[in-house]
Amino acid sequence: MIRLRERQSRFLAALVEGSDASDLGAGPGETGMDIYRNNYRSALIGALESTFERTARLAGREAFRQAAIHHVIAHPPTSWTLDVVGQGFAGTCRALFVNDPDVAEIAWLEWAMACSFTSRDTDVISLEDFERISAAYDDSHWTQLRLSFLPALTIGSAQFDLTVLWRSLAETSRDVEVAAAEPGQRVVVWRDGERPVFRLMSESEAYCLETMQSGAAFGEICEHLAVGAGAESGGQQAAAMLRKWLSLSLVESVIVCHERRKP
Amino acid sequence: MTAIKPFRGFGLGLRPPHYREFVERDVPVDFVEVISENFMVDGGKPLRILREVRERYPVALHGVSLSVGSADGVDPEYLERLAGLVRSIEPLWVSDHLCWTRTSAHNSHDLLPLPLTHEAMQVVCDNIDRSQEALGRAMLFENPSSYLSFPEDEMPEWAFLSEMSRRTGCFLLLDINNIYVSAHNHGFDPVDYLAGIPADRVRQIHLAGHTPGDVLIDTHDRAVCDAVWELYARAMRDLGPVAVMIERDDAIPPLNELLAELEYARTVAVSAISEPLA
Repeated sequence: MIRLRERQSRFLAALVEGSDASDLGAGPGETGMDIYRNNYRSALIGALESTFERTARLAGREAFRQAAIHHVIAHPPTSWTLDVVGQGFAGTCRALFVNDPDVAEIAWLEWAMACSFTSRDTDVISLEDFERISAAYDDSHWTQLRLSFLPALTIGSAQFDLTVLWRSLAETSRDVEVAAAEPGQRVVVWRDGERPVFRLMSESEAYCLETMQSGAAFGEICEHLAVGAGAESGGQQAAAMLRKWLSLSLVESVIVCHERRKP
Repeated sequence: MTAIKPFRGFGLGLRPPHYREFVERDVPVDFVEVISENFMVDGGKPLRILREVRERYPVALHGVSLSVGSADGVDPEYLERLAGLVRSIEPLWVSDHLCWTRTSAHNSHDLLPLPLTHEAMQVVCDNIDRSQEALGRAMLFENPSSYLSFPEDEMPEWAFLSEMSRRTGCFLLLDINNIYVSAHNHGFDPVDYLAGIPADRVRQIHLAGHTPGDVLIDTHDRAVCDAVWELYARAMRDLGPVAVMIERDDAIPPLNELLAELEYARTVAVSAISEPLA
């Protein structure tokens, strides 16, 4: 008698790779296997269609469906949650829509927005909170200041004006507007309350944000900006960025000298 | 391990088109059932809505990914997430299906059929023991719809469920539509199925619609059909106090339409309990 592990391995191979299932016995037989194959395929493609609505509009329904089938075959799911089926789909689009790089870019954005939607809840530090916390900072505090950002804060590249493109893809009845972004623009995604949001950001500011997100101190971005603008102007630019990040509610906590402060 | 007390009531599945109504008005249900995986997330709007719903109604958690039939065992990360949700929601009970969904290599995201063998029984019981221990409570397991069976089958599904419940202390969620669908697809008598189920282990009933054809498909996209209502009435004559729920997962109608169907389920139950078995 075939052992359970072997049976399940063969069954999944029949689903995922379409391999032979003729050893399955009574009942509707091959028709039954076709139902399971259809359920498998439609659940995964349905999850991709639900997560990447704008990408589907931009690519066209049939082209998107083909890309989704390709993705499911190339990346059969391993996780218990359907929420991660879209992981890597932007890369699939990049490979398949070589002449339409806007498709991969909007797919990246939709995926980042989807991830932020159910990211960990957290309090944020407001500009007022930070002014209170930092009132007694001296130079060494500022130099060593580190920030912890929202858990789902994500930074990506933006060849296209994603603000215009995103809006134009909101409804099927609108014409799609594709325009190039200003050179060097980046896109930042996070969750504002319960709502995923994004905005375009200059390359310089996005670099500083990404650098601090990876653990660098405020002093390091001041030094980076001072290289082109001089120490005083570099410091002013860094301070302006910090105010903006706090105003956008991107900062979860402040760390100075290994001390973490929350509001 | 905490047992599941009998609960007599009529409920609906919580689905996104109805979130607002469940939060903003007093929907006349005795409980709501939610799909566990939709809320096994880190944070955000889904969890906030579930907390608000939980403040207004008793909630049952119904999962689709535990995979107690997997020879590779249950996923510890999944169990940990589920346990966290159970701690925060304090549900009436936690249910899943007698099926498998995964191997250690891939996940099908579908409720796949188990060979009904003694080997599978041991695997299922071990996985249920592990799951109930992790959750600190007894669980419910639902009979799935199935579209094929295996040459190595050694017992009917009702005998498998009965023995599984006896060995693990788990309770049963009887899906009447699934019994009807599988009976048609495999050629057994649904009345034999009901007769083989230990009535005192059943805590919940699911009712749903299916797509007709040579092979019936469990699609949850339409109203309950007359034949399933008849089978439900027969089941209710033998069962003690149970929770009854209408499941709709596709082509979801306005809430009032589902409430009317639930009211019909109440009427059928009252009538069935008061009538002697023919």
